[in-house]
Amino acid sequence: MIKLVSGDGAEFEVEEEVAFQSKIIKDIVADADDVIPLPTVSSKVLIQVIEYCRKHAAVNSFPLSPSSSAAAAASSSSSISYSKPVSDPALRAWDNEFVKLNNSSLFDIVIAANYLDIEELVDLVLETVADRIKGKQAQEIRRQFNIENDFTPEEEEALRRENSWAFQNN
Amino acid sequence: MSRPIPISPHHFDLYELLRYNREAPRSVRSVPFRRCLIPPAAIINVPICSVPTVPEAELIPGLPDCLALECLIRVPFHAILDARGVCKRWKHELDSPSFYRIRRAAGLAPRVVTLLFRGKLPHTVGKFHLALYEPDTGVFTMRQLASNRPNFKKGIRIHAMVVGRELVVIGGWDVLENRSTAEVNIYDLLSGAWRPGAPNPAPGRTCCVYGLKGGKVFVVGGRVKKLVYDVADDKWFDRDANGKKLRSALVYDVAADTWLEIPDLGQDKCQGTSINGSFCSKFWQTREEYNNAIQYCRELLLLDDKCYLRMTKDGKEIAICVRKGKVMMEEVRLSDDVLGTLQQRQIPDQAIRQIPGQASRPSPDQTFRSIPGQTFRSIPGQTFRSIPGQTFRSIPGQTFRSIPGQASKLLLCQALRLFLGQVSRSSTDTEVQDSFGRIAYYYGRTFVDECYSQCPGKIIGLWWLDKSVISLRPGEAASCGLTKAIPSHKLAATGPSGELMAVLSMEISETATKPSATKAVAAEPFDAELAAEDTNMDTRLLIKIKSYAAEVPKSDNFEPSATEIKRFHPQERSIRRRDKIDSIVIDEINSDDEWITEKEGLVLPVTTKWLEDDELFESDPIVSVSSSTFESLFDSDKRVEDVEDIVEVPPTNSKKKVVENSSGSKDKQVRLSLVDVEDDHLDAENYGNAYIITAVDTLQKLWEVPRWRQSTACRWTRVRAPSPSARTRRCWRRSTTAAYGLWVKEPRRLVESLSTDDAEYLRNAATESKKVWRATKSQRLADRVEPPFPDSEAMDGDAELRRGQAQGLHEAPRRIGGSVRGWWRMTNGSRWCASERDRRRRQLAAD
Repeated sequence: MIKLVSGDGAEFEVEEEVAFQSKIIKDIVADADDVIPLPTVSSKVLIQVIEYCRKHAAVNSFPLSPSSSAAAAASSSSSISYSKPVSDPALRAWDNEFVKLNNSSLFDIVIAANYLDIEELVDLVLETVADRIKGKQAQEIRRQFNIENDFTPEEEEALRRENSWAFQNN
Repeated sequence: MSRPIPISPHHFDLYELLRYNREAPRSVRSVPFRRCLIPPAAIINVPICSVPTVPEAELIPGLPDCLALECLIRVPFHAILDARGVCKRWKHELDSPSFYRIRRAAGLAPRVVTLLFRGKLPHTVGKFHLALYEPDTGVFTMRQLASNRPNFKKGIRIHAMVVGRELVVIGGWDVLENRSTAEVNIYDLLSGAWRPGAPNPAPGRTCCVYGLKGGKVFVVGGRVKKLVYDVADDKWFDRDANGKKLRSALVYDVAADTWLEIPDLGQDKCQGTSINGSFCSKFWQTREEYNNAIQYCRELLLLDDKCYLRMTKDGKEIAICVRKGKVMMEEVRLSDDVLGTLQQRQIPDQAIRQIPGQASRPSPDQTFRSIPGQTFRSIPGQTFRSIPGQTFRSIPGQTFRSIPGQASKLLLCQALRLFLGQVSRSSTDTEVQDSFGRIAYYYGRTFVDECYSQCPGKIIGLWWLDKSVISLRPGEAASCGLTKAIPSHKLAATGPSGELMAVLSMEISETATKPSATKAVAAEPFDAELAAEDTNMDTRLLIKIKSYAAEVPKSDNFEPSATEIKRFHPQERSIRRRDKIDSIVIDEINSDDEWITEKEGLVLPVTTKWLEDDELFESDPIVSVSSSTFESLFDSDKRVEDVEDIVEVPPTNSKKKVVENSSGSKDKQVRLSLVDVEDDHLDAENYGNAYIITAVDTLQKLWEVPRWRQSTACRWTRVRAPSPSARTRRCWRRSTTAAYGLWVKEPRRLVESLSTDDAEYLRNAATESKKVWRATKSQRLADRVEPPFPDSEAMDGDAELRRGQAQGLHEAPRRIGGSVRGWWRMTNGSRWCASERDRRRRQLAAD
């Protein structure tokens, strides 16, 4: 068991395979003790991250078929693939449910996951955010992510003219 | 045959991929921000000038920039163009080359295929659209290009290719000058900005091959027309109809914005370049990809049939060509070998000529040529009033009813759409899918070849005789291309041997009070004359309406109002200035029953005096035989199969007949006789010539044994050189269009499926009956139908059709004999009537 200490002092005991979803924890545990302080991660976020890791650890612990695991290993080593699709449909569905959060929670999670180096979680969240950007007008994107519009009206008009998609409004 | 504009789906290599290995920069990763992986090389490679001051705002509030950037690189390409408008920081980030390098390096830049094409719907007509298709995700988006470039108004003869992030558009047709423009326009696919490139030093080159290699555009080979000034005749004429073959190549270096010329490339390099190893297989990896792309295109913009699509048997290699610039996908015909040779070729220094970047001044011949060319383009087919006696005649029981009042073309489209719904429901999905890629429809000559070779048994459609087409195909949503408001649309369906099954002619009434009234008149089968009924439109109005249609901003139904029409009065004046031309058109549907419609231009008086002008016919008479002639010749069925007699009609005779015909009294006797035929009469041997295409197969319910047939409608235009008096300067020009027909075994079914509650315009007596019907006269003049061109590539046509092709090729001239030699010659591409040219030559020799 590995003990994780969140920024606000709460302690979480997790199994090794769950904690080792995070590469950085794995590295730390290799040459240090079992109590790992995570000062930048709040309890709320850490709970969610652990939930994710637990789920994925449970699924990943089942041995894959040798061919597919070999292929996965080969692909992960040879090429840069950021968006590794999660193979298990059930797990993917769970993931989709997991990311049904508001933006700020998502951002907290992705920052924590990035800090903990949980690649799959980072990918998942970033994909989700990208999906929320996709297919929206600039105005909607601004509203969604609370971005200030610093264009002058003239600039905006020019941009809109450039990018007028033919069938956008139909 | 002029080559179609080479078009190619071009792989959209937006940014050169900076080689970036994820392992390599591991050292630069910091642990907390592992994902901050802007490769150092990417930063270094940003040109200094392109780094403006970075706005300070966060990319996404609440998210570190490195993570936000990673979000952004996951946004698909089509969404990027919207995201640019979010804020300055985003725009800066999304415009920077490093962003795309990272995107590529992360494997998040899927292939994008760009298509450049012109819209066909009223509110998109004439406007260029850029479509981006991502095969991996199947996302298809498009936007309208700013059409502030002059050559984009009429974008024919455009060659477009993608170099880097830019779309290089070479050429185009300058409508005002009536010549190929030398302009090179470069469109930034990302920012949507245009910039001019160095003008093409040789815009007059035709038939050249465009290729793309290493960021350079190669223009290889081609021909240049040489015009010779004939002092005696006081005019320019083509010394060689095909022009001189060039062996040189032009190279446009996009980055350096310079043109180079490679003077002598060698004969073998310039001729016979092939598609082998072409990019096609690289772009479309599967047939589905290709199908999807085209399907999206067609569904969204309703492209019409002027394009033809090819696919080899293995479904891999595709060339997409579009005539008249509708879909712009460059077909790179150069093989990689040739291009490689071009690139590596050690060009001697003195051999390279740097061509100054100015547009070459138009030579006198060009300016001269612009006069006749202009008139052809703007006037023929649209400026003619019907001669009395040439209007539709209603034969009892067989006329189509007029559409009352406001039935618009779009209504017809909707009807066809309904019909298509039925069609596609009646065939399975796989058939639909499978047929899609191979189904193509073509305008003009290409159709036949392609139809042979590519879609045996998979095509169904109705063709407009005119420029616009409504096509029906299984496996695709309705594709109704309405090009322009060409005022008389004629929907013709002809039978298996070319008999006219249905002719639907639509007129736009000219009165200002009812400008949108569209009248559909239909001729019964076999009605020889296809002429507008009560066409009161004159040249100016027609052209106005045409230009209106090109400008309709956004309206789904085409209903020009009087005020909008008025806006085009300025054009009226400019048209008037060109009214020096006599235009006479003989529409000659060169089918079994050949018929002639004469329409009278505005300028000429209503007299047929000009027909007696022997000089026009003296050497190689143009056999223009009216249907009444044929009627008298072939009243008896026993002579139906006899072809020889028809074409030997003496020219004088034919002319007289034409005269009689145009006077209009005799044709009243023409009747359609429908004869029930047995099914076995429809077998192939009955129509054993080149022009039968077995078509639809999956639609047995609807079309039992439908067959396609080509016929050619040719149009003679008499033009006169600007000085009005000299008769010798009259020339004839022939332009052909092709008409294709679908023979329907049970026309009733067609009517049923096309009918809405009130649309009955397709009904007639024949369709009401359940009998198989067919006109008596068939296939007599089959051999006079223009044969498919020998150089067309029949890829997998069946043997019968090829044999037919060969027959048509070899027999047609022989049978036609000397009397129509002029006609024949001209169908092979020379511009002017051979008889006229021969006459002139003889005259010169005699002098």
